[in-house]
Amino acid sequence: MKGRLVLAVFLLSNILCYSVKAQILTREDSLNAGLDPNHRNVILAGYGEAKVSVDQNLKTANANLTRSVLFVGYRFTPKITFFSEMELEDARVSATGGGISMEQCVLKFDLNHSNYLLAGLMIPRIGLLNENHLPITFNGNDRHFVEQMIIPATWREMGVGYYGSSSSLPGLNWSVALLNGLNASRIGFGQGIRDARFGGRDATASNVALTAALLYYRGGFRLQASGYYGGSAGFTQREADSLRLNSGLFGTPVALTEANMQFRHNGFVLKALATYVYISQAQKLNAAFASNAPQVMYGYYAELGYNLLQGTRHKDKQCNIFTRYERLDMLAAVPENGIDNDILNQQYLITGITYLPIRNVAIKFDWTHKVTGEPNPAMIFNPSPNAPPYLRVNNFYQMGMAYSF
Amino acid sequence: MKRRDFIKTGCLACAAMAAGSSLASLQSCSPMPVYKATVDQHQIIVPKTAFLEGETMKVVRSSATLYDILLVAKPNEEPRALLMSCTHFSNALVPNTNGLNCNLHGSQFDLQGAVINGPASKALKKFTVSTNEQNYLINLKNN
Repeated sequence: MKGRLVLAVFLLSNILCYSVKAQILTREDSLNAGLDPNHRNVILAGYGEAKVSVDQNLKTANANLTRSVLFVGYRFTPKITFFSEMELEDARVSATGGGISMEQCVLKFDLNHSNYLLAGLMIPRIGLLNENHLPITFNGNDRHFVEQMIIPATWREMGVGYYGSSSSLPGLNWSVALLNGLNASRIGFGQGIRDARFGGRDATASNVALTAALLYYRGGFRLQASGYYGGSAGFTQREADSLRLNSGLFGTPVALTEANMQFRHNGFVLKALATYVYISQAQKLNAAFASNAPQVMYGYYAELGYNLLQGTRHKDKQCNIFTRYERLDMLAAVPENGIDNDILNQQYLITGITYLPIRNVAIKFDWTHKVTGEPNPAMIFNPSPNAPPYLRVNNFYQMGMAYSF
Repeated sequence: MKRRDFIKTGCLACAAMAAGSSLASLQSCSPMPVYKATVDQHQIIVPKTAFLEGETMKVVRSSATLYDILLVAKPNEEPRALLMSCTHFSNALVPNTNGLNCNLHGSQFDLQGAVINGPASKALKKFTVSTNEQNYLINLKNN
């Protein structure tokens, strides 16, 4: 009894101690916190987006709270910080959809002013949107399709990353991370590697991945190149043998390369990205799982935008007009035992307006023109005689809003 | 598109972009060393001799602040000092010759501390800078 009492007093004193020391700060206070090396602080923030989308072919409209994310950060000491993002997709979770997940949950250890380590559920530096995915920072109601279907943003895995920047070459940054690998059984037709992510949930770590990136700021340019190479068969030796897959750290590998650039000048913003995925043993995946896995996927896009309010007195507002062209093929090459299907060879033209009355809020209008290849009739099993014809072209008219605080 | 063609095209595009950016800012290619400053009565003291000839910016590090400070001292302009902490999530900023960048969510700031690109919405914290014959004095109070 006495022991329990002592424990209770100890816990209570700790809670009180923390409640005194931990303060929820406004942004202004947070700034001031930078002046005090011993200051502890909590940061609460978040972002979200919603849209209404009209499908021209189906002549229907859909309204959805796409995502709502709560960010919590805490600075334990000047050199150890906690970051987390918890995301609710599609407003609620049910058997038919929606999801709640952690987008990141990491501890950041500052080694010095220009080098740090991240450990936990982390978002590696791959592509433009993976790290910087706040909806007020990109044009259009949808995240870039190439960065949804080829680079599966938001791509997060358990791991450890080393991040640094150069003081001798200003603007040069680098990162290297060791992550858990992918799930070979979920690599397949129409999903690419998206469903093969573990996202921090019961991931196999007997297969791992290495990723590295170079990021360089110079003038109005932001240039980045990154690569990913990881095993996907985190099975036991017995399972792997029975599936005729190569297991081990980098067994049945997936390789991804990517390069992107942004250029900003006088209200103009140019963005471009290209990515390529190679799954050398796709044939073995198909033999094991009959998943029609791709051997090669690729995608690229380019976007040009201009802020109509540039140079006016409305410095805190933006009215960006933009046009983006995207091209991707999720089945660019199939192994001998795969079935080609041009339906995954897709092009998108997106054009629209993003209006930011303040920097934290965006109102978005866009028109998305989608063109796909012809579906392979061999993949339509037991076709219905009453099925409507497949329409290769469709248009979507979308209106949405986004916020970040 | 064949794999070899894709890699070739991608590499050429990257090389072209890199060459373009290099040409666009050749004149601004110089290192940005860190100066470890002393603090005296809420003032960070940076000797003018810490700036080498032609240098207009210096990253100043001291025991008084959690984040570095970017001291900008250009000819014919008032010197200014910017706290290198992103106003979005207080992440340490990375300087380059045209501004400061946050690698956490992509915010960008110019050398006046103003936001160029969000999600940050507020300008960087500025400190007043006074000078005497020998030093720049970054005042940590009265901002």
